[in-house]
Amino acid sequence: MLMKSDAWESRAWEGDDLPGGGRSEANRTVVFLMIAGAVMLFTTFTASYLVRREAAGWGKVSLPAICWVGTAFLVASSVTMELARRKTASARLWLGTTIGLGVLFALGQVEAWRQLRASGVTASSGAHSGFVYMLTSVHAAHLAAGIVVLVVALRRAGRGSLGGCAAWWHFTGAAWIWVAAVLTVF
Amino acid sequence: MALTHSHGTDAAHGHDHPSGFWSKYIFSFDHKVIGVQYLILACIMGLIGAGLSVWFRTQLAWPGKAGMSPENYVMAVTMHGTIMIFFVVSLSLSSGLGNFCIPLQIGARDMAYPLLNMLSFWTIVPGAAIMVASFFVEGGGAAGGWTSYPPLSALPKAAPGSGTGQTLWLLAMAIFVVSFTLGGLNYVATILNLRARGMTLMRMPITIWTYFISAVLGLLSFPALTAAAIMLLLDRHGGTSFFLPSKLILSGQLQTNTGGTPLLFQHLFWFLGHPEVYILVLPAVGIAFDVLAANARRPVMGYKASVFALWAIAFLGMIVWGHHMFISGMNPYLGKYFSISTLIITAPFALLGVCLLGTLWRARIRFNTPMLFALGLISAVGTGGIGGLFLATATADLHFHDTYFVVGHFHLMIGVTSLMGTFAGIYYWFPKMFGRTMNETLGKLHFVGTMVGTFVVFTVQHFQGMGGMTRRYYEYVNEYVKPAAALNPLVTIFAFIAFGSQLIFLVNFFWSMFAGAKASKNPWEATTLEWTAESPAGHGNWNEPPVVRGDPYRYGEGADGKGWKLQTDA
Repeated sequence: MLMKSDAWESRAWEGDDLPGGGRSEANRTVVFLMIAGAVMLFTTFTASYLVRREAAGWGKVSLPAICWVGTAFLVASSVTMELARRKTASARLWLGTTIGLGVLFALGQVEAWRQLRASGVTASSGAHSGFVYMLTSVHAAHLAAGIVVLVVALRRAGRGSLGGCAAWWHFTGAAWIWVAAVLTVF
Repeated sequence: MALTHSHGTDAAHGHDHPSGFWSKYIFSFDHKVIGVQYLILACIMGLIGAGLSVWFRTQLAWPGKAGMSPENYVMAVTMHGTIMIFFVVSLSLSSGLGNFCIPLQIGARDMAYPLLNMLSFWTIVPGAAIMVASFFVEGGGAAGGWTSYPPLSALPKAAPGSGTGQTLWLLAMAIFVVSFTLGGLNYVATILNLRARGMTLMRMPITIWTYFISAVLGLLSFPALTAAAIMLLLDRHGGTSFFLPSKLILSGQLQTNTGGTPLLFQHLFWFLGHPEVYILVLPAVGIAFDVLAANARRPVMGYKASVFALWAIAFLGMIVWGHHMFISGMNPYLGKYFSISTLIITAPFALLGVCLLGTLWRARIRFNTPMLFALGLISAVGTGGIGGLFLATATADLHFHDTYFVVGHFHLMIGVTSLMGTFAGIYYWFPKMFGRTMNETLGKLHFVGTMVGTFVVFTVQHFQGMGGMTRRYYEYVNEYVKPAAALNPLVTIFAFIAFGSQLIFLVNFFWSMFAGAKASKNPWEATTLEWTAESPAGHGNWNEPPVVRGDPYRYGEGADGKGWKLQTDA
């Protein structure tokens, strides 16, 4: 199936004088749109959070400390992602490191959920805890999508630009800081 | 495997003609085939969705004679709304005609992501099947209104349709959102990046502008519905209280939820719901522009102004959602904001109307079927739009809210306008789809039935609403509403006429596909790019890359008294 699709993509009109840049520019457009859509999603959750916290049964909980270790991993992974994008020669090494750091963050998330559960905090124990589980899960889904994309990029490292992957990965990092900040500050 | 069936030698020639039935008609990558697949799926869903309206209209006109219980009634109106908006208008206009037109009108060989395009279609098929299947589960289909407001939609035991039916509804809608989002990504990437040489943005037909704008609107507004749906699912199955308030009593039992706010769901829903109107109406208007220009033999009046107006409508469309909720409980100052911003939309819409009508100025009009539907669209936008002025005014809306005035208004806009545009497009591009033309006599009959049927139904409903007839009622028994309700048999008879006319369309559509008169490459003597491709065009659309040399509507140009020029002509 994929073979046929690839064959098709190569058969789109080519040339420097195409007003929209041609097929090779499309990936950039799609990544940009996906980030825009994801920003709207997190904005909606944030707005809902700010509305809901005014009502009864909020019951704020704090994030387990391991989440902050995870934050450090994600920030570091953004740095390694940037290195992968800029240093073509060692791209595989840096991509691999980025994936590793991403997986470490994800494992940290699982541990954070386990700790929350162990202390009796469930999605239904309070409105805030509902948001904690929901927002971290939605973020984890975006991160997982990023890891899949990076694994694909690792397999075909050296061919094509990593710009789109990098943009998405930086976005998941920024989204995490956003989510963690909302859950902690408000 | 059929899907990997490849024609390496054909590739060099540009045309790729998959020979197997499965790869050509079922799992095709060709945007034109996928467009037609969407249209056919929309036809099937349309029969179900419109059939439901025939059923409940019978109940309204002759209570008790339709074999319908009150539970059936609320389920039928809920499912009618859901199916018509998301599985008929969206699939036919946005997905069907959009897929068909976009690469052809911008001079691309296919969508940017043909595989993704095919997957979008085959994602929506199980979605539609699940939506239909929900009729047959215990308790029946969802019955909380197409808006799915909690608590009816959030408590599985709230009403018969709130159980499995509502779960399946949410699942089908989730599938729809995924498919529609993938489609939107493809549209934007294709339009931005795959345009042919010389096809600058300001040389794109207005149809393409409207598909572009509506795809952007969809990508920015559907995430709000996604977030709402996730929270609703958690409320239903995860024991959370995002939308479920405290002290809710169900069947005499106090619920354990605390502090949730049903109003939040309404905000999130309408943050999508209102842009959704424009997602569906704008492409219909865009198609009308193309059809009007071709049959008035005149360039579109105010091309730049129209493009500007479309963007203005899209922007304003995203910040006015609150006008659906004037009586849900809202700070009066906020209500004033939503009122004023909604009324401002009149300005760009009026500009569009002027451009549509101005295109007809002093024209020698060809009154063929697509043109009739395009003219019908202008009428529907105007008539429906007038009702919008009243509903946008918070004080008037206090009376009109949830009455048949609203029902009449939004049907004229999202129903009649969108479908008039869809039909104009189908009759117009049918020769490009199948190399044959649709029957003109049947087409005109279809138009007259649709026009008369829908306009009587929905204009009369405005008056019924003014007379105090509220929507979603199984039967009108109160004395005060009887004069308004007395019009129900009339409305129902014309609803039958409108429905019957669609059957004429279906016969014409499927009959002409195989037996219609053979069409030439450019039967309408139109100027846009799709008419330079063969009718029907093979997979790949053109052998040689088309080069665009002029504006999309070159009517009144050309030598030797021909009076028009293709976009590719020098």
